[in-house]
Amino acid sequence: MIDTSTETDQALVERTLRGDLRAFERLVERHREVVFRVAARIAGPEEAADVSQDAFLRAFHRLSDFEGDAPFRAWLLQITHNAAINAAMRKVPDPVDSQLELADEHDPHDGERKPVESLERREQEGRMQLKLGSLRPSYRSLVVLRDIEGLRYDEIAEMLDMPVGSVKGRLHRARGELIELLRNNTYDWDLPS
Amino acid sequence: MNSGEEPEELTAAERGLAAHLTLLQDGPEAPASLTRQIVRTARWQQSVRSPLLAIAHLVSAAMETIRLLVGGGTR
Repeated sequence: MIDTSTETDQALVERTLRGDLRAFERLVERHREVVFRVAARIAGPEEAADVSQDAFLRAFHRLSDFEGDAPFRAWLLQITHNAAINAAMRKVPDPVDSQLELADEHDPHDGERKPVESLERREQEGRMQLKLGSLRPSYRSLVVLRDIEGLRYDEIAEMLDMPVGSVKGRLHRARGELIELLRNNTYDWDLPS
Repeated sequence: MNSGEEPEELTAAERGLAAHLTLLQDGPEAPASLTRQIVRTARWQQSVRSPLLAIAHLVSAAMETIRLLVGGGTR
């Protein structure tokens, strides 16, 4: 039996292409959390499962296009990004209450914090997600990829097929817009000018 | 991750924003059933893909033949 826990993504891709769905399952297991987070932050938490499934299935059917010279994760996140942007463009923004309910369902730290602290954090997170959701999808995705997921500028440039300088310029404008949005919500966000 | 890059020069407001964005770094977590759903759908799609592609090629070839016959008859 093959130990898939130490296999590289490239090896798992090759085995999937030979028809081994257990190798694909391992790829999904390995990358599902980052795909789900990116989908949730760009398209909204309620769309995240559908967007994640869509992204993995698109990747599955296009695995033969994966050339292996870039990391599989970056290639997969490019597909996720495109699927999430499409979902975000179709969607009408939800009221804050529904986003807070979804934050309730998914908070992994429920058991670790005191109830009041946990509730405050969830509410603050919900408001932050709502503000992020107010950005246009192309700006939102840059903030998610760089400032939340911590991808390098060259990875983002490759994913979005644009020069690094353009990524930096757009991200600067995206951050500026988000800062202005947060300043309009003064009870939470004390941002220096 | 962005290690290996020169540290970014951020304004005070951008540093404040970065601190607020850490709120969103933890989650949400993918549902446990997600992998199973994806693999099940992939298996199902893989099993119908080849027959569907074969049917699509047959239909395409038939349409092309009809187009040639009809086109040839009207000349």
